[in-house]
Amino acid sequence: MRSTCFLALLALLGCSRTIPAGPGPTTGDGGSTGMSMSGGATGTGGGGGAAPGVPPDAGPTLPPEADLPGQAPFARLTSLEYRNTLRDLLGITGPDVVPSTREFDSGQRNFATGVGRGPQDVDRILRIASWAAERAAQNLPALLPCVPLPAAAAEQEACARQFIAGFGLRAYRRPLDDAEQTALLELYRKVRGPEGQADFSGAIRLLIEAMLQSPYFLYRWEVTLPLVKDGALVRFGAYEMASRLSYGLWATMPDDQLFAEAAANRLSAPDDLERQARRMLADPRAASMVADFHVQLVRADDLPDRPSGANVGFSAELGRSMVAETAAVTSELIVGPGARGTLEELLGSSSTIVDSQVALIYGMALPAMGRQRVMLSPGQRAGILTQAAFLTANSRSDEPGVVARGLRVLEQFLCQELPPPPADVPPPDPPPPGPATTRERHARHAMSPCAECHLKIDPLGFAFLNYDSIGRYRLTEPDFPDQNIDASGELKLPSGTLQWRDGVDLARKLASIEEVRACMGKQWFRYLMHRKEGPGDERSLRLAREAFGPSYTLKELIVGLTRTRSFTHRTPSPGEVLP
Amino acid sequence: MIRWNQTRRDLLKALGLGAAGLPLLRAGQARAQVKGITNLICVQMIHGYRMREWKPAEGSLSGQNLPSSSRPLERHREDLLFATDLTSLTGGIGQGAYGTVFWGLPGIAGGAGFREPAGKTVDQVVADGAQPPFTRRSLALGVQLDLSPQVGTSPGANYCFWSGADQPIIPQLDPRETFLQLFGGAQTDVDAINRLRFQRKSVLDYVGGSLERFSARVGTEDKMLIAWHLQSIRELEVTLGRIGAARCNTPPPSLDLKDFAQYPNVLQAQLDLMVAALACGVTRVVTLQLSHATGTNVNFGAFVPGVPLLSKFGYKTQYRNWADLAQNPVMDGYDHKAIVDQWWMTRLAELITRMKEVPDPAGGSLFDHSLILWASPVQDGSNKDGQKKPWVLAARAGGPLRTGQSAPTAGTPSAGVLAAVCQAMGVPHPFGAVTPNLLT
Repeated sequence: MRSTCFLALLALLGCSRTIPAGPGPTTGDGGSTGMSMSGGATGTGGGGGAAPGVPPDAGPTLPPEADLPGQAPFARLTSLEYRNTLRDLLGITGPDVVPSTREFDSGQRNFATGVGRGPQDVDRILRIASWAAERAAQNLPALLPCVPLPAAAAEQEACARQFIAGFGLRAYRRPLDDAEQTALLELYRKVRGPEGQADFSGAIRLLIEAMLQSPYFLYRWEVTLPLVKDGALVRFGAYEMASRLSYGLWATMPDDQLFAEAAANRLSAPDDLERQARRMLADPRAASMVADFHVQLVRADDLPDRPSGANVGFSAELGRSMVAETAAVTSELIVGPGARGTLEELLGSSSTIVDSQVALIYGMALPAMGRQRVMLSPGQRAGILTQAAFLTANSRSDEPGVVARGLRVLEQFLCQELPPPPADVPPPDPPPPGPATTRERHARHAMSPCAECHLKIDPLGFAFLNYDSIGRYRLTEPDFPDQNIDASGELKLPSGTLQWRDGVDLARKLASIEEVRACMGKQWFRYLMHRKEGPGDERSLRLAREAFGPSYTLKELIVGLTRTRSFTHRTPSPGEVLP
Repeated sequence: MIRWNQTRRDLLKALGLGAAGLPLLRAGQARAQVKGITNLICVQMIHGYRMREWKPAEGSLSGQNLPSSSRPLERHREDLLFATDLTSLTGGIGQGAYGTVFWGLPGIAGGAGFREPAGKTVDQVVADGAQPPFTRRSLALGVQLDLSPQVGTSPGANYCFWSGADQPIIPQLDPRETFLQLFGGAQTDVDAINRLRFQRKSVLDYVGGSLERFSARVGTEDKMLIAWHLQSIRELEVTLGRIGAARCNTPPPSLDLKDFAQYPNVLQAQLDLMVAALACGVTRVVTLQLSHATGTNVNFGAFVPGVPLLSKFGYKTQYRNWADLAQNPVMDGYDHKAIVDQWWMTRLAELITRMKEVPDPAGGSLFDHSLILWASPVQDGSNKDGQKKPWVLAARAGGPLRTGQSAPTAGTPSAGVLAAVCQAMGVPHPFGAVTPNLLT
């Protein structure tokens, strides 16, 4: 069997930084019960059934194992988190001084295993830590608890002690125990000793450099010992909860208020968490998190890195503008002033925020001065799936990415996981003589062994044929100027057969189907928890889903997730020392 | 969401990662982890080359013998890109374009007929987009530019790297002084270097201890990752010590910077500093000025075998200086200029060899991450033709630069090569369209 499907899928996988999906656990989508999310008290009981501290839900009874959240990921700060944390910890801001920490990602955003891939990786961490400490040391009075800087050695050491405790709490996002403070004080003494001969400022700089390389700073594992057991689970400690909230909702370290709440042990009850979540989502810092989520959702995060000319008419600058559009419009939609932020708007709104470059993609001429909100043709644009970032990021060269666009909708918005392409697919046939429409060229995908996947993927991709490889709307394909594009299609889903006329129709219909609503819950779950959902998260997902509906307000979904047992508890990792 | 479709265990399995497999994985990744070009070296040449002895035939370099002056580059032919006969948009005749070689776009009039750029030269454009970490945005070096006779005070005759219009970058001429600035601060003795090393080691000791204590807080699977991280820290301690001794902590020799016979030694010291600065993460961009606009103070007869010390023509000085060679390449039947051209290509070849020997922390060699642009304002000092500039670029074959060829660049503006340099390094630039056939 000769087919192109394997190459098409392989190319798609090869050009992204995604780890091919393995057979992962799935959860039921749950059903809306209209149940309120209010109330609930902190509990200490066992792990099954109606969880302590989490309100009971009124859906079909779930088995106890549906309320046993999985292990927490051993996550390292992502680039975004690292950059934001440096900003908030050291006051290093601005594009001129904050380095891109892209190399920290090692290809997997928010995944846990990026660090420690050899001396090269560790060396990069060392260099960036050294760079950051050097700059922080230029304004030491802002960091030190003792101003003016003491001159006598004894006073300097006393100041260093205070610095270690205060700065250490913020850097490690939890109080340092005595042994940890002693280890840092020993470092201070060593570098100030006869072999190191650092002056006071230099020693403080080296302390900062050391802490920025420490696993306590780099890894999102703010465990305070002893662990607090809650039945078969471990309850995240107060400082861990502060970090879960801050990195989940702000992509940065906790602020003073979160530290204060953690110190007072007021970050365990769902109502306390909800109060903090609402406060944080009203803060401008939430915008970068929301933008990051959606840019990843449509897989446009590497668009600014794509070389100019990768798509006909594409430039790296245009790519940055496209990503900025998706970032701006989604963040304003969900956490902007007065935002309603519904799923319907995310997938159906024709309003957007663009600069003059992206406006040209949409056939509008705007003055080259910043970004502004504009209304696009409702017949041509509907939400995030018809924005230039999604359409371009999922296309290559001069062809609209039928497979990539379709696969993204399937994976990202319907949460369907496809098996990898078969390994024994022979090379493709030569193209048929004469011109062929995009649909005709993809017809071979419908043949076995590719059909199983491509009969799902391709129709969704065809829906966006009205958009060229950089998202410009068109009615016809270049080789067929007299033939209107057929972007219609249908897809069988558990909730019924979804039919659409074109991409706009598809996007708006996706907003109202149960599979997409449930998928958005999973996607936000994965983003906030830094892990994929498992069978033990089913109840948490159901509760979050209830918070989401009936208006399907995305902010409520996010808040709802912070109230769940999956947000407050975890299964201990094998080998972990338990009390 | 998207990126978390696998558990840690899945990922480790996908990597083939078991405790016993770690060293193998690391070794296997050494090459794979080589990323794009991050370092730029710009070397300013003057008076071009004797074309018959230097210029390769257009096309692939693998199918031809390089001419005599270029022959020292033979072993690097797959990593070379010759871009010859480049035109100039800068204005200025012959050496008058000296100050705008790395600008390439229409220049502005400076003093004494020398043009000056209207913006940043390519080194500074790249420095703007360079990926941290580094401690200096660029490093500008020069070789005996202050010896007599000088070329006058016009900036366009003395400087060819600029941070903007009317903002020439003054190169550093003393290798030892530069070394101390880069690697030893104001301290001058070995003790100072040892103190720095001790401080670094102390920090790494702390980090290592932190990792050991941290390991007690995590599960078995994560302990493996921490062990891996810790092992990397320990290796880094060893590596830093070794690299420091070999590359970053070896001061240049003490040289008489006013002795023109020391030119090759000063040049070598500056080249070593360039390599050290890049290898040790000081900067991503280094520039080297080999001469001011005329080269009357570079007396090749003092150090290039086969070139007599004194000139029979006496152009500007009594010596067989660079300007004298340009005006009168042949003396007593010998083309001394071609000999000097070959001497320069030997220096370029040695620089490439050296960079290939130096490991880069990101994997591979320093050369794997670097691009060398060796550029002259004119084709040949004897014709001073600024519309046929001969440039050489060097970068690892298989990267973004289409190396292994003498590209068909005749008649194309040199700005297109500067654009190619920036594009190869992923840096936004003002230089316009990339010359065709230079990038993969």
